[in-house]
Amino acid sequence: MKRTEFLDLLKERVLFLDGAYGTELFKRAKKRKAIEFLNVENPEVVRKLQDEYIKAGADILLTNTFSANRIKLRSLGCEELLEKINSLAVKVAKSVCSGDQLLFGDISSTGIFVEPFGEMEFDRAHEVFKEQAKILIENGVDGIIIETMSDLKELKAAILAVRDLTSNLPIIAHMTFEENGISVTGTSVEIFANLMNDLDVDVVGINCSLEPGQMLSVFSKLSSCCKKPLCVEPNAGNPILDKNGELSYKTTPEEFAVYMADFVELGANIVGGCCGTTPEHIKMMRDYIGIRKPVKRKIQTEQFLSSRTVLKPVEPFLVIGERINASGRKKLQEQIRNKDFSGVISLAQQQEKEGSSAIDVNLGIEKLLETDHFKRVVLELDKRSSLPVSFDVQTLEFLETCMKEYPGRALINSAFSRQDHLIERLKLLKRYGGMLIVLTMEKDIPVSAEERFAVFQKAVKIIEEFGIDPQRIYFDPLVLPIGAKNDYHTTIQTIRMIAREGFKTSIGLSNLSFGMPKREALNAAFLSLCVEAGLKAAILNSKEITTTNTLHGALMLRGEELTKEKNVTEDPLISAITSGRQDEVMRITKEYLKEHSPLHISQNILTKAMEEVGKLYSTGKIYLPHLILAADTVQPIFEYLNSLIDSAPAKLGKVLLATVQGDVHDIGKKIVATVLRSGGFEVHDIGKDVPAEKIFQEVQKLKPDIVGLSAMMTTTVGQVKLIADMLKSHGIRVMIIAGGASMNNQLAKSFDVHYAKNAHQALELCKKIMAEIGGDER
Amino acid sequence: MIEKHLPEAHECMPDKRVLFARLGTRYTAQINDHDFIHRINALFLTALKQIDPAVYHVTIDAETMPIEAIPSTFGDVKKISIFLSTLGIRFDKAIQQLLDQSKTFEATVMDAWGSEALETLNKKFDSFLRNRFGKGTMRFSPGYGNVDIRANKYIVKKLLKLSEITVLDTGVMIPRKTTTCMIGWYCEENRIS
Repeated sequence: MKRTEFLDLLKERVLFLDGAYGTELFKRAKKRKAIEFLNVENPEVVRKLQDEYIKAGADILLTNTFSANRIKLRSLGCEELLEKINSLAVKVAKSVCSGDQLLFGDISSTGIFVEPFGEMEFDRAHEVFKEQAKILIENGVDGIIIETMSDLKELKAAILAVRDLTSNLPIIAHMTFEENGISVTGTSVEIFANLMNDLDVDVVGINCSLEPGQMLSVFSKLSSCCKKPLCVEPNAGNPILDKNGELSYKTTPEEFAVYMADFVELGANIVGGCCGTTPEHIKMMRDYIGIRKPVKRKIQTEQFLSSRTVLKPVEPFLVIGERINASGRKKLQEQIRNKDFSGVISLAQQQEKEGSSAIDVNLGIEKLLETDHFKRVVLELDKRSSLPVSFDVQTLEFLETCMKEYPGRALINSAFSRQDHLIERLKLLKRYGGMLIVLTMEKDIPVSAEERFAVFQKAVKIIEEFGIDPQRIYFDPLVLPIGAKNDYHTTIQTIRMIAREGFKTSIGLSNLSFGMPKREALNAAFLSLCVEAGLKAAILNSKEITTTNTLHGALMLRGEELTKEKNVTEDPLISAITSGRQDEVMRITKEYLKEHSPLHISQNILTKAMEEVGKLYSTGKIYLPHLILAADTVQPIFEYLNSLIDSAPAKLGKVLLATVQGDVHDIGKKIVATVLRSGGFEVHDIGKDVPAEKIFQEVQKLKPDIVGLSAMMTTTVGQVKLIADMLKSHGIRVMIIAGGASMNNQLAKSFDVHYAKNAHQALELCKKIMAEIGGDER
Repeated sequence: MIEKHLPEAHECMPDKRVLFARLGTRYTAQINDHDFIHRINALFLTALKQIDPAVYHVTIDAETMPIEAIPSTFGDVKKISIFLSTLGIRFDKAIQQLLDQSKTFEATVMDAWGSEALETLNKKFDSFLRNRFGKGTMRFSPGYGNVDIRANKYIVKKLLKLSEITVLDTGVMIPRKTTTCMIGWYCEENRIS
């Protein structure tokens, strides 16, 4: 189906998507590994389920290919079946479609985070998704759905991969969120929506992780800020162990239907079910909701810039920090050439503290740099700084690298108004999202305000014809040094003329005072005049107190106010740890060493700081990437302190970690390992897809105090019980902590094990267990 | 012959837009108040567990009906279907229990839910009858137009002969969420079996 036809259909009525495949096929076929194998081994069971979904009233059927990408299949030892699994999936689904249903090819995560939080390069992820999507498309799906993504960057790779194959088929793009509306990688639903508003997808949605009642508030946020049609697929609750020892889901078809009506009222265009939902859930939902026209939504129109974790409104005024500019700064240039981005990171963090909303990145010396320099700087900024970025990059190839690698909504600084230059950058904007600064000049600088305004008008025409919303554009009226006898009134007059037309303007403030004495005073005075004329953004030195105070004052006179966010913490040690400034943590540690013993610092200062970091995470003030970064940052410091102690301090306890058999997810377990190590535990990670017998043998050999088991899939949580029973039956007394997306407290209790929701909880639980064991046995 | 139809509880699930309207608000206005929505949904699902819906129905020649029980708007219909729908006595008790506990909000929502659930059931049964009998009048209930509500006694006791439904002298029926309806059928006699 063509995209336009699909979008027209979405305007007519709410469509119904099918329900779960994983949980349902596991139940029916007792498949322990990937259910996608059933496409080859037992297609009849897949066909029967899909037939039931159609009979239940599904308008959209998905292919049974959720995990059928090369990386996932390789981890299951069968990547040679990639083509067969995907093509048969389409064939099986098509055999039950009557022509009234649409068939969407289902794609999901590779299970590995993209850099910088994982090891996979963006291009590799793109290649893997493209390979799978190509098979699905060539076999005749009507569209592609990308589901259950927790990493915005991986989702972006998947979207671009599909779009590189087809511009005609619709794409539905989903992420999965926690109940607070934030993904495990720290991306909020608003950040997701804002990027999806720009990317070339047709429908935006959320699925999995949450049951309908929990998902309501998350979807409500999506509904208020996403401009695209919406899709939603909640789970049927958390899995519970029924009387027969089988996993079941608590949300009844009736409850599911009642809540799904709420999603429709919030503006959902497509409703379906994720884990635990069955044909009965879909039928009940379909019967209850019936034929409905989609509800018209009230969508916010404000523009935002974002990084992976921080969303910044551009209104009332966007302060862009100018100091990451290597031009004329030899030390910074040298660092950049050597791919040492510590100076860049430090400047980014300083400007964030000073109140910038975005940071301009100008590596200068572009002729001496390669693509990898630009890729690395983006990865480092993503890992360590949370402010959105303005890419002041002149070379198109480098600029594209930055935009590709950036997991947010960036600003491009800048394009000339002449057609060829502008179109090249508009193409980047269309492909990767974001905003753009357009200079009111083509080749030479127009002298008068009227001439600059004429150039602006020409640029607006090009932008509109290209299909980009001009509200995504800042126009730069050009600030020229007054020291070279330029009349600053020309800039102010141009701002006024553009503002009168309802468009946004931005300036590079410091150009004004170039070569002049008392630069700060000049900058401040000029900025005030510009704000009065309607200026909406400035690239400026946020260290200039006079300038920033004047800006606040000028905005107040305009009845507006800049919101300066409070720092997460005032403690310099914790701040250095959470922002990954290892040198600073080491410096502070060495200061402490002048007065305290290494043991005291390790046990009373660093450990306490990490406890505070844990609290910041559990209260939602920092996110998972910061927690991982903090653990990574502090670990070498602990090791350094240990090296100064004659005999290394005893570890808090010994923990054995494993992902259970049939499950290839590794990230969560690795995060837990990192956090436990930084918390003072000796950790033995014995890997993923580990059979119960192997875990049993390792427990006998290593004699850990605690065994941590990870099970992400509903189809593999049963392994936790198997291992717990095995250890118990052999009289081995060891505490077991289970975690993973499919685990929950109730389930853990029924398995007679402990449950930890996340790495921080795992650390707290390990400490508690060790305190109890210590009391009893040590 | 009097027939009995026992629908599944979920067949009575009322449209929430209508439920909110009966409660004096609009679904759209409340949808972002998630606490409120959760409360309403919880009561919706509680209510659903408290009903034992049933429909009793009969189709007879119009001339066999007492003239005072036939709506004047029915004109020259040939046959009339009469049906009684009820949510059952457990639902009354559930509301009473809430009232006894001074849970007025919950009782109000349940009561509104019951009214709309019954109407949902009636609409579905109306549609079922129309599929069977073809062109007919609008659905009509005693208490409206020229038919006195006390006609319920005739319908329940004489016509449908139902002992499980109590009709007070006022025409009010117990269980409270009970209605009687009539639909007159015109000339499609070939469709009437």
